[in-house]
Amino acid sequence: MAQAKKQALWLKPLAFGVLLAVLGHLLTIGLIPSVIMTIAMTRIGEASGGLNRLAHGNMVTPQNQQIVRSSPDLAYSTCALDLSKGPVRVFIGKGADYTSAAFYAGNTDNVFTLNDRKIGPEGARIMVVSARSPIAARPGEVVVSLPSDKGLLLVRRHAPSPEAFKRVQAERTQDYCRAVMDGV
Amino acid sequence: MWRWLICGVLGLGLGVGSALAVSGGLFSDAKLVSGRWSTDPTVGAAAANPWLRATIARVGLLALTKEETVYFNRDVDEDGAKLVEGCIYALEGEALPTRWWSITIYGANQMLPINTDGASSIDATRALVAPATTWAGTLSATRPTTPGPWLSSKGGGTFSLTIRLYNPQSVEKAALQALKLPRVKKISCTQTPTSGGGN
Repeated sequence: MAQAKKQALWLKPLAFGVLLAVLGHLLTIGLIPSVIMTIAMTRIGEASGGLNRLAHGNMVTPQNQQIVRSSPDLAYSTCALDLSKGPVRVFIGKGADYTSAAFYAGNTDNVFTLNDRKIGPEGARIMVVSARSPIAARPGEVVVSLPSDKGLLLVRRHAPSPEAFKRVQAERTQDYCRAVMDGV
Repeated sequence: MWRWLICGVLGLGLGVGSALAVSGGLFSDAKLVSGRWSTDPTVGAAAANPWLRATIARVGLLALTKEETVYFNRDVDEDGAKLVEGCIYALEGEALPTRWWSITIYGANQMLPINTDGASSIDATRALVAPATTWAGTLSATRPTTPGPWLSSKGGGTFSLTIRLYNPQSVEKAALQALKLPRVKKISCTQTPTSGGGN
């Protein structure tokens, strides 16, 4: 009798523990992408000298790698996007080899990717807007709509050798990522 | 009161801990297998479930969708044993129905192994010099004397490989499963690799 009473005293706390375990699991899983994305955006923004600025990375080596699972065969350029004050304009020049511009929402979703097969010889002009931004794209501009005000642009260019990387460095000098109010 | 406190703390710890453990595994619930390589086609897509999204955020942030790039991973050799720095492996591959591919080595921390060998990856342009349609290389901690591309495992400990397939001709499940992805055959070891199960 005393044993059963003792067991009953644990039932509700145990149920409470199980509930917290489930909530803790779901909350952590749900928060991981946005927390890691925020950290990545902060680091990229700092490396670029601010938001809405394109930073060109060096050739990836074990010594200078910044993020997990980067590829040494690619030349990366990054731009931390902040659309809270309006749209952002992006220009990506046509490369001689594989090039892609991938746009990520704050929850890590790859919402849009443009690769060199769809980039004409004059390059790609892109206007990035958030769901609540006014759209004032120019003729010929590709409009990319992010579900949130924050996001990331990651440009990949094929550069598996120092020679290829040198070529890419010349190709990407005209690339930019700027807030529309910067007058671009 | 102390019963509630103990159960609450333990429950919360278990929930957070299990979330971190689940999201730290590399495609532990991969849906598509080709040989010893595996992938999840929903990587990068809005359709990805919260667990996969959390995993990608931790071990492969900023992945592309399958139409742009398919990522296959493996951490075992052809016999199912874990890939380890102490073993020498033969790599065998052939032309793939994709615009371009590259294989990269990552340590257990998902970073490139720290070494100065300049051999953290092999890509199609270096492995498959026209008119060749097959290639053979080496995966080892020391530079091989045999010709062919080399992937250095120096500093890798227990490591994994990722092959990126850029603009694959087809992203249909059957087509991806039928891909003849590179084989990784153990030649010799100075340490005994543990069994890795089926990756």
